[in-house]
Amino acid sequence: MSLREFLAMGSYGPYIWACYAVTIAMLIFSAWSARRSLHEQIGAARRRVEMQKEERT
Amino acid sequence: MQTSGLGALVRLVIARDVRLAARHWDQVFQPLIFFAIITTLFPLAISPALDELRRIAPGVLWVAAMLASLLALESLFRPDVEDGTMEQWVLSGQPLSLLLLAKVVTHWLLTGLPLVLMSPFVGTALGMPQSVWPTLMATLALGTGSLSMLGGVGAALTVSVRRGSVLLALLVLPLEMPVLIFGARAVDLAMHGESVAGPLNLLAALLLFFVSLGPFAMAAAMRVSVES
Amino acid sequence: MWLWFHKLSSPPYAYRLATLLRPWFFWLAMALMLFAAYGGLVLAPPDYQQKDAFRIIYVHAPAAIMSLQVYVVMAIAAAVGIIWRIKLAHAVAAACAPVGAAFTVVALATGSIYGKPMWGTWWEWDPRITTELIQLFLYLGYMALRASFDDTQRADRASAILAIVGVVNVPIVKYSVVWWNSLHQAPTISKIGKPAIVLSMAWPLYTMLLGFMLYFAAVLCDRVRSEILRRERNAAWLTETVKTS
Repeated sequence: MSLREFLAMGSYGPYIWACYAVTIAMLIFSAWSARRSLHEQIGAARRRVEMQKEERT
Repeated sequence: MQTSGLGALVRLVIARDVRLAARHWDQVFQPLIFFAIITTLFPLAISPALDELRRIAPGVLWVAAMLASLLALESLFRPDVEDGTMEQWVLSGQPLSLLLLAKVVTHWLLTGLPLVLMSPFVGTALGMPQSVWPTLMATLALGTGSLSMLGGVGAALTVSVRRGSVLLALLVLPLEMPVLIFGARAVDLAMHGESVAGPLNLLAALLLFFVSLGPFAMAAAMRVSVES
Repeated sequence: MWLWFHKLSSPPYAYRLATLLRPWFFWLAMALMLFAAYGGLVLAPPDYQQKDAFRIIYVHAPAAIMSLQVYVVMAIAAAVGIIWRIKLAHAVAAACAPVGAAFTVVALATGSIYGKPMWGTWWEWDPRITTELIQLFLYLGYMALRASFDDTQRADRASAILAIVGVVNVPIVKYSVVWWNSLHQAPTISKIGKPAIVLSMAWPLYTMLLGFMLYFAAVLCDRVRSEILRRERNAAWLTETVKTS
């Protein structure tokens, strides 16, 4: 089966690939969003630690 | 006045709420007028032909009842929370779930029941035949009871949120969808002359379910909202 | 065993555990999902009736299953938090909601796209789509309620009550929508469901579902870590951990 035939998926291609694309996009977004908020929190916590150190010195 | 026991407590709560409502009759009428206005929107938006309205009448009536009951929920807990009464109730050591249940029952008597009584007239305006009236009123009676209970839980959750009315609608409407489905279908079946025993029983079952568990959820939610 | 559970409810321990486990969950999930996709798109034979279109089910069904599973996890975590007053359980519940909503959106979107070649329309008030839509509303309502409280403790307890009420209502909603739909007689008999028992078609589905579950665990690790950091702002153990993480 050629690549073209595979992509066409017997005329259902656009629907199938759209679904997989939506799924992949959501998976990436969800994981990225979680990572980003984690880094934000770590950054904020680090800054607080820095400020506390400065206050003490 | 020597009163004791939970029965007396419930009666006191109901009497108080009825007396307070009597001082503000206009607030009692507002949801009912809202109900009438919403149903009027549909002939204007869709078609004045009774034949067409008749087909959608059950759905329209039920959606209007849901929205009107949502509006009425504003006055259920907010006044008491704002003037500090609720805080006293929470701290009083009396069973909060019972107190709140009494409030919801009174609220239903003042808003749900009038809606039920109004429905035949509004239904006729939408082309509903007289034969459907008993089913319409029975389903609305059971349904508005459930709507009041679920609404009470939502109201308790959002009572301390500033401008929480839209949030209340967002939370409560999805939970109320089963009531809408069974209620509207029942009236629809009645209009086609079929038996309504199925959905009617389901509505009754839902009401019993919500009434037995709802008060505890309401009390827990109220504690969160009121205790700071 | 109970000692481990007790340890688990301690934020520093949970934080370290989540940091450690996340890469394993994530990469294992990636591997499983890729393998399942290969199995579903390449290896599985075309369906007799739906031809190649049925391959959508390998992402649609697991997403739909996860959208419900995550809600249940969220509700259980909320219940644990409110009954035993374990703050970490509330953190887990809060972490679940965005991921659950994401799965629900995927289920709805793929379901709609699946519907076009099968039923001819982008939308149908099919019982499954309708209940999924209501499920999305429940997630969004939960997140909106959380956001409306400034105080974390109150947000936790209020949203816990909502989650529990919601989970009780989910089977009711499901049943009522099926009943409603059966009265309307769906235009075509829904072919979306568990596929044929043929193993070559079934295994990618289970593999993808397992992959999704591990992915959920991985994302949960990150989000729970965020929640812990946010809630334990002034804790002493934070300073050390944050310097090194």
